Amino acid sequence: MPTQIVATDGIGDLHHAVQLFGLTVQLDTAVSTAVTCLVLLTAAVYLHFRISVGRPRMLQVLVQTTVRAVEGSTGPVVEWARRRVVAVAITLFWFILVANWVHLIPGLSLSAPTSDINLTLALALVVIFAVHATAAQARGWRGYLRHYLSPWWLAPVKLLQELIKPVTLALRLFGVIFSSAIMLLLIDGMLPPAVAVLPHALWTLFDVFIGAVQAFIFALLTVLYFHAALPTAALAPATGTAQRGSGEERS
Amino acid sequence: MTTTAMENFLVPDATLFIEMFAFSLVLFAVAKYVLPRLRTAVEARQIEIQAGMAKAAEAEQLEQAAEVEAGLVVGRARHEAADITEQARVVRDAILVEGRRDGRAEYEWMAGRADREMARREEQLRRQFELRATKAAVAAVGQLVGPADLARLTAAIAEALDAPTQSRRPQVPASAARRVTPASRTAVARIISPGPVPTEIVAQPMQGRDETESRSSLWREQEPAVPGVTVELPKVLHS
Repeated sequence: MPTQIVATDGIGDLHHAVQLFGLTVQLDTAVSTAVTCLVLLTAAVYLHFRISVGRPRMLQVLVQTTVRAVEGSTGPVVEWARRRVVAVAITLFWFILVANWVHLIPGLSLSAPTSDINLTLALALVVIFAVHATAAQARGWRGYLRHYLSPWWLAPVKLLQELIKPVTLALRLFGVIFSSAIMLLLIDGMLPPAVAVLPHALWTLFDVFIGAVQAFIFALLTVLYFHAALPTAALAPATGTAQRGSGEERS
Repeated sequence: MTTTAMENFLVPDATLFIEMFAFSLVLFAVAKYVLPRLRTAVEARQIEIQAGMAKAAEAEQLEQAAEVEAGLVVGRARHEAADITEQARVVRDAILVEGRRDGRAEYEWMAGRADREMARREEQLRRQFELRATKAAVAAVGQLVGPADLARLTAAIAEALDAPTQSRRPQVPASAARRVTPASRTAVARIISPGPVPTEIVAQPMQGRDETESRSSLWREQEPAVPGVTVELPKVLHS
């Protein structure tokens, strides 16, 4: 089938695996992730030293806008949990956004690291770990377990749900970005170069839009997972670790 | 390090841990160094905004107080302006009354002076007319009686006019003597004395009258003293 042939060839073109100390490492994904980290850390350093109260610059305004948007969508949670949610969601959004757009940097011929399941799964695992750690810290271990074991006959379903969450998060982002990369390979491989210019440009624009949307969806789902796992602020303890297990149960 | 082909793109490999470390590194940097400062900046800006709002509210209160005070000041100013206007109106009326009174007095003074001037001019014209009439009469008599008799007649008239007492006047008819006036006497003296006799009356504008009235006076003074009578002076008197 043509699709299988293209997919196999496309995967071979997209990623370049190497053996490092007996472990398989996707070199292009690692390099693209390193570039993404470099961009984000540079922006972080810039923001750290150039934050202005009176006259904020465009980057500061953008980050502040996303921070306020995330803070507005976290719901009534305790302040320390809110800060953690904001930090994870903001970092996820900008990380995924830059990772989705890193292949647009001219001259580097990088591939989007989010088109590799390793990055998306890593992000999903970090998110799920942060969600459960924060929920356990907010509710206490007893309350955290009671949250999943009441009613007891729904415990398997809830456990399955928690296992599915990172998989769906990872596969959604990976599938969209990977398919977008496959579409570009299809356009470039099946059409003559003179004809493929316009579809390639149009799909690249669409890919930019999709990358932003997927970053937003990933961050939004992360906030929703936090929101579902955390108790409300009215019923939560005043400090995160002082009184655990008294939070409101969310279904 | 050896290059291998990817076997199954849905199975994660060691890259997963690299990616987790990379994201954790960025998350740590953002959560540790960016967001706190960002939050501090936002809070500082909120404080500044609240301070600005407080200042704005204070300024608004000051503005309202200033508006009230401005209204009071404007009301006072209008009241004072009305007082000043009323005083000015009173002063204006007083000045008008005084001006009218002064104008009336000056008008009456100037009119009286003009009347006196007119009377003086009329008297002057009348004398000149008498002089000319006398000269015409003497010339006519001289043509009738001749130059010798004329000189004698003139001497007699002068003697009669210069007579110190009333008793020497019988030579002159009583009716004529009654008509002899000082002006007539002066006129005769001028007749018998050598020198040019004015042939016309030079009008002079009267002081205190306007130009129109002076022109009118000039017109009246250029008219003959007796309407319809034109006096032709004999050339013999000029020689």
